[in-house]
Amino acid sequence: MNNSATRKPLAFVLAVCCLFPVAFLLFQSAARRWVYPNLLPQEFNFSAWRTLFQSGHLGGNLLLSLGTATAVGSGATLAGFLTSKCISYHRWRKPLLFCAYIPFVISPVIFGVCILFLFIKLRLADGFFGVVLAQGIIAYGFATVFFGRFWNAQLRATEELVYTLGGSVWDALVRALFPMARGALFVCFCQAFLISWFDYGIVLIIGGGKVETLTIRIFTFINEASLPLAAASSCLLVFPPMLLFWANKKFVLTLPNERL
Amino acid sequence: MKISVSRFWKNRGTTLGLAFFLLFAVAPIVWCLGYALAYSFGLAGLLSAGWTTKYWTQAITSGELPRSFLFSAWVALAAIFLSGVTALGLVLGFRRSLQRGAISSLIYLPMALSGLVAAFLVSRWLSGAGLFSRLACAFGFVRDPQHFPSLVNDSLGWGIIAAHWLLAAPFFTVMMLQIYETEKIGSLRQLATSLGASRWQSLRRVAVPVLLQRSSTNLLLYFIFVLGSFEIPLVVGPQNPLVISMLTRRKFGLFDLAQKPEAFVISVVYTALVLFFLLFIFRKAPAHE
Repeated sequence: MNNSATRKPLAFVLAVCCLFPVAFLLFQSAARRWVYPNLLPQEFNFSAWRTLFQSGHLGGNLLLSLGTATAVGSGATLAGFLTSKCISYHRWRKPLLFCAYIPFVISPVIFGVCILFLFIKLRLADGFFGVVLAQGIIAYGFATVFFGRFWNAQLRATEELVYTLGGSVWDALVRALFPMARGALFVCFCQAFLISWFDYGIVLIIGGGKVETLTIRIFTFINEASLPLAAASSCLLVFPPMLLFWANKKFVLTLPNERL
Repeated sequence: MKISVSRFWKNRGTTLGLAFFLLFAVAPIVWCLGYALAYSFGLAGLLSAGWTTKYWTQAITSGELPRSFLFSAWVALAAIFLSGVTALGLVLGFRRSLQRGAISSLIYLPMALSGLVAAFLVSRWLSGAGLFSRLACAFGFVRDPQHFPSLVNDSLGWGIIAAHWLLAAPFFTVMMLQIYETEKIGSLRQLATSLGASRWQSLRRVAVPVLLQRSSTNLLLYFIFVLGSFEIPLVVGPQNPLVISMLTRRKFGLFDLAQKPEAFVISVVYTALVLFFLLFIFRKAPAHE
């Protein structure tokens, strides 16, 4: 099955399958008057995109989503990196890692429902910081698990070497560990960023309708059956992850001697 | 002196790190479980009137809870099975095609879709007036949307399964491609062939077991993820039965406050199930993982 006669057409079919979802979103965003059973719409225009950018809401939704995801991504990555170091060298490594898995695998909606009362008491519900904290707890669990396998005897020896040569904890962190982990840090940031960027359940429950991220806006469009608007805003939701995957492949996977 | 100062801060750092971890990862979960348990037994909430098991009895005898769990488990199993089989087929049949040229990058594209976007796409493709129905009409298989067997909002959850398949199949394909390389399955198969195994035997007895064994943890984790998914069933799922997250959300959000404790009964059962699966994963995983 791997001979060249079948490989090229097959690669083409697979490439089309991979491109189709994004291409369809772009197509749907420009489609107008697409009545059944027509295979193609009767009209194409970019009025959905114009409406999105002229309405003024979208910019706010986009910035809010970006701000939330960046805060969650960077906070969770840094906290997960440092915490996983403590856990990995600890004698209770396995039970502690087990605890880190729970917030990360549990359903965000069920987590949101159960923690809402606490957030209301702490005056964190219905606001940006509440959403960041709730998503951050989930992403922090992920980051701790992600870095769980990063730490090993070689890294520990490198750290000890820094101390032996007169370096401080800060020196070990900034001059040895962070540079050695830059690839893994970037990959973890991307994943934690996406946990927040794609989230709908936590924003819905903890945000209480007052935090309107891009996912909330998309769901509103789907509910209203505003298909071109839903497709156009879906394109905006898909674009940053595509960029992150590209950056991941281009820069991180090409780093020499990188531990991922 | 320098070393001892570093050690002092290192030990303090470990304590601080663990305290931070307990506060932001463990405590919220303990709170969630404790609060949900208290609410479900009538010990918390606006209408709490002391210890009672009536909400548990209500939830179990109404049939909604078992139906919801069975439906969610079916959807998760079907989605994982179809995604796993697709990934296995692609990796074993077309590995070289997937590793060369533009396709090696394009395979990452579907992974940029969120659950909500995948559900939206599936609703535009598989609904009565969707793209596949239009194609079926163009080829003369159906005359109108009513004649097309809509797979969106159907009682078997095919729309949910399709959306999860769209997200999971590329992910598992990339993961299994990496496992194929890191486990040197190509060399193992070559060895099996040189020892007299046929091509099919080397696939069935060497490649498939190694790939499945090495990806079993991720398959199980993905099962837990699908079990608790919300956005996809919200867009393309049926109203009856509801998946676990939707049932919890509905019971929690209803105006009838008497239904609220049932939301916490579901949460407790779901969390217990997740913990059971996690324990299974942890017991199964080798010590170094």
